[in-house]
Amino acid sequence: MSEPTIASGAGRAEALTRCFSELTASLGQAQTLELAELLHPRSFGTGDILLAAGSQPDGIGFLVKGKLGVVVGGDSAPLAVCEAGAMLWEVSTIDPTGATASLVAAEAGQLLVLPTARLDELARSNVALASAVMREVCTTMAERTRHCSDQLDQLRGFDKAPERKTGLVAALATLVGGFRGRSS
Amino acid sequence: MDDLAELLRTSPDLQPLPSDILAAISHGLVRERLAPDQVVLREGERAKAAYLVISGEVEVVRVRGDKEHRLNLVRAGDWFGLVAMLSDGPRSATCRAVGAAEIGVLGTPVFSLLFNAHADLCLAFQKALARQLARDFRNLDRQIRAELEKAG
Repeated sequence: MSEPTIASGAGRAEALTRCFSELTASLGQAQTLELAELLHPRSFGTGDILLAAGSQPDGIGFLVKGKLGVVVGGDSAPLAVCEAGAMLWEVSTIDPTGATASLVAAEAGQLLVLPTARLDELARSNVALASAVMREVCTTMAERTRHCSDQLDQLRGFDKAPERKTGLVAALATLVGGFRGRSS
Repeated sequence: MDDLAELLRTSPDLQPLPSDILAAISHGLVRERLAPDQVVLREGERAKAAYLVISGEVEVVRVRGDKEHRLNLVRAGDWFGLVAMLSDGPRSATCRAVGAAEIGVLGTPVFSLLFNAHADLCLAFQKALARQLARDFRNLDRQIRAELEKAG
């Protein structure tokens, strides 16, 4: 069976349900479809830069296919890889001071973006749906913060420099997007 | 208007909220005065509340062996104790007053009501918490980058 296209609302709803099951379970079918109608589909090819560090994203991203490398500072190699199910740019959307890392496609894929303006509109038109999305954003940020804080804590007590640096880099990459959402 | 109502009204995170929602948050907060160095919550404990600093400062620390690391310093208008309330798991750090301070304690039942129950109220509260979490996130990002600098 062919995979539904994310060009249609139904296809986007299916992709969301497949990759963001906790969010869609809390929404139910009708609201998942309503959310899907608001999302902008974006396809990308290997090597595409989806967002450069310091830039402001268009909104919250939901990665539904493919892989994105997290690139920090002057490094060219990705420090971590985001896979389908990763929520992206929620911090920069809430606190619009620019993304802390670049995202470069390691593999072709698809992303659904909830533009900031649409999230604001949703708060007026369907507050229950907006609240469900915001609850997921808060929970994702809290779990990511806990995970990275624990990693940082372990590394502070670690004296072997190369291993320590590797671990810190992994913690940073996790913080900026490599943590695969709530199900990890 | 008392100082808590004024703090809520002027907080950058809460300022966009309608007055009835501010009133709901204000009513849900139980005020508690803290002596200098008084511990509010300890790492490893089960989360029972979220906290708003009304006055003074509260530091967020982790103790490992004989070393203590300050993770954050929160001030009037800041929330703390959110991560354990929003994710499964125990408190990830210890929070204690730096000097004399006052906090508002939002126990689990009220927190849950504000976060989950009525969409109008929830969305506003969630946005305020999201802004605090975003600041915490940026703070953690800076700390990891600082440690990376030290590691060369």
